[in-house]
Amino acid sequence: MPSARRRIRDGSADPANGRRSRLAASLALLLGLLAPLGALAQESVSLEVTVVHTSDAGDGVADDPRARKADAILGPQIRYESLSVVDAQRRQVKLNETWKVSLPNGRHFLVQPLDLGPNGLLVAVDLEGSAKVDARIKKRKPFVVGPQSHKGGKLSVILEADF
Amino acid sequence: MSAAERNRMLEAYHDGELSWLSRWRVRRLLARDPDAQAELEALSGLGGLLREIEAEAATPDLWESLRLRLPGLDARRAEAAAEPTRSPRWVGAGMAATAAALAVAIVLQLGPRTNPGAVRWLDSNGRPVLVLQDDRDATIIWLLETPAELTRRSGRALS
Repeated sequence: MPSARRRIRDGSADPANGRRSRLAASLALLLGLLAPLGALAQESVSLEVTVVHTSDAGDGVADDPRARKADAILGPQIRYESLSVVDAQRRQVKLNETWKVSLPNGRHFLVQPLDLGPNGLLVAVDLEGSAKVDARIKKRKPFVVGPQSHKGGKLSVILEADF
Repeated sequence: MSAAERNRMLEAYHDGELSWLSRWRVRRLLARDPDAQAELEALSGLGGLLREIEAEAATPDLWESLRLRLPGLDARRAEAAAEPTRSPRWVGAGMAATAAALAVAIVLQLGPRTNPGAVRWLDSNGRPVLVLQDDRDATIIWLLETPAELTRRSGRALS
């Protein structure tokens, strides 16, 4: 039986079929290489922590886009006269990694992404000394935990995840 | 056997560093010398104390990595159990764990605007807590100072 190369040379096989086979094999190989990379990419999520100070002092909402955004989240639900953002951090956090954020009152806010699924990101959150919560949060939807006393007002933490 | 040599032998015996023959000699010493027995007991007590101190020193690091993960595992199991029917069984399971859950349950019964859909497990150290969810899918876990504050704030939050 003549070899495939011989058959192609002799015209007994369609060269286009061979090219298609090689193209399909190359694509399969490429997909095989990219699949693990995709899985790795999902092993971490982008988390943003915004620490907000609210009080009954009549200073209003600070003239800052982040403060206005925090006010839009808290304002409809929580009563306060002034609001300012005291810290905002964003970082990439691996699943099961704990991110510890220091708060201005000496305590910490800890967050650990646990599971990423179609319904969102399962996170374990610890506002040190106040509350521990496990929650399934949606992409870019704020999750707020608070308050803790600080400088005559209250500290709250807004967590947002992007994945 | 001098006192210094005896002490060294007892320490080595305690630490399991002696040969069979030396161990036999120390056992004979212990059998006839109450002071040697007392010294060995003191060494054992000291060893236990040191182990306790080492364990205490190691605990915070371990806890740091685990303290968020343990409830999370329960939350994932509860989610998996509830997944087929999407029933809110996890609400009862998670909230029964804490006294604060009672406050959450009270709030849930007050009106349709509260939806603890995001929360899988919550421990507020016994403090009453509001779980609020608005139209923008923002979830707010708000701890209250007193149950009286719950009544005042829930009225505003749910209005």
